[in-house]
Amino acid sequence: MHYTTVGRPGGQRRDLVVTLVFAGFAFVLLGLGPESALVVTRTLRSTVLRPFLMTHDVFRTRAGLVSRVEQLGHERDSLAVEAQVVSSLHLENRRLRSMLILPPREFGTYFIAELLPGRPHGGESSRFLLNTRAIAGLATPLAIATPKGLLGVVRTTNGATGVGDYWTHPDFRVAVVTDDGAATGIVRPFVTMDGEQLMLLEGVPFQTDIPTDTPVITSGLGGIYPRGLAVGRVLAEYEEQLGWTHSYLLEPSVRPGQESVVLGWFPRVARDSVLAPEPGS
Amino acid sequence: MNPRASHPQREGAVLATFGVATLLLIHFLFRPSLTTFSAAPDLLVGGLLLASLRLRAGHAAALGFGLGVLDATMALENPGTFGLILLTVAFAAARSRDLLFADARFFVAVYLFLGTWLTRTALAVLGTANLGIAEAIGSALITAVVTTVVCATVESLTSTALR
Repeated sequence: MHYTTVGRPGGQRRDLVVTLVFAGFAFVLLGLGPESALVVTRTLRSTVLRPFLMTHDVFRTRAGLVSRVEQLGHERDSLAVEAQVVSSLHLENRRLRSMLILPPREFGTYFIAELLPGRPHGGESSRFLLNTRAIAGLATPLAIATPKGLLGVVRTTNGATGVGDYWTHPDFRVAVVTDDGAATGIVRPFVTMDGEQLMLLEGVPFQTDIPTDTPVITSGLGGIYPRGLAVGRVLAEYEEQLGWTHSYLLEPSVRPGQESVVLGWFPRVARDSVLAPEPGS
Repeated sequence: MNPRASHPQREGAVLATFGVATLLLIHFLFRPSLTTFSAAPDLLVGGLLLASLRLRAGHAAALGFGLGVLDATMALENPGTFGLILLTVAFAAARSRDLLFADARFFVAVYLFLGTWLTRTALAVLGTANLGIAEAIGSALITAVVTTVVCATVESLTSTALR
């Protein structure tokens, strides 16, 4: 077996220079802001990596086709039932608001988008890529949810692509309220000693007790997340008590990595409350 | 390829390039499946380490940087972090083979094992994967063992094909 040796000292110096030049490139990439980093990611994904990503899409589509069709059938049936209930609620709400001389309720606008999870080698990524033309030009952050509940937030957009964080990201925070409105607080990600990824509800007033299994939803405070998205269920009170507040462990409503089509939300009212996905998004 | 190299040397270089290219191609084609299983080999790091056995240190560093940026883009990690880690590993790997006995099979196995273990730990700790340090070291250990077996076999096949 023959290997190329390091060579003469002149060659070694050249190797060092080449390495330092590329290390410089790496530091430039490290120093890029989120928007510029997204441009690099988009460019590479749409050029050099495109054949590989297209192959991944083919594998993924074929692998989950049968189960996906069954799942869609069930979802469609349950949605039809819910739609019947919601339309009568809409009518009732409009009638009551007009009786109280209140303006029409603003729901914000939902859009449908394709989500590509980050895939590190080992562990779960807390980052995802979002593809939809609906986010072009929108101000961030944007809430991302699934029919089961809150999933994360888009931090940066560039054209029809956005990069976001799942709720498992250490910087993620959301204002919540229990579904009966008795307690409010802030939810952040929490990893147990066993390595299980849960949520921690902090800032609950000391005199307020939340029973186990109570659903917790977004409160809509701050305007990033719409009110009423399911966040999780109370598992138990967390042992540490900070000053005058309680903290509770929550079982999350949605765990990252399972959804490929998601709902995004931005607080602007459109005529049509749901934007349809564009073909090829 | 060195134009002054002898015929068997040139053939060896072609075979080694073919082996490394195959490993990298499999890595990028089947990345979603390979990242799902904890006991899957890391063919990117394995391929890079094998390439660094034959390349000059500067070329190995450039290859490491390129592969790091591409893999980070696919994983939605920071390209700079991955580029820098793989560049450093490739440069150190290319230099280490002259300090040690690069022709020995045992050296190649130890080199692959240690290289993969260190790289995977660094990538897990500095990336966005939700892993603690102990978990990252443990996961990288399993990956390193599997990668060593796969890549040492490839290395052995490409070298014995010439005999």
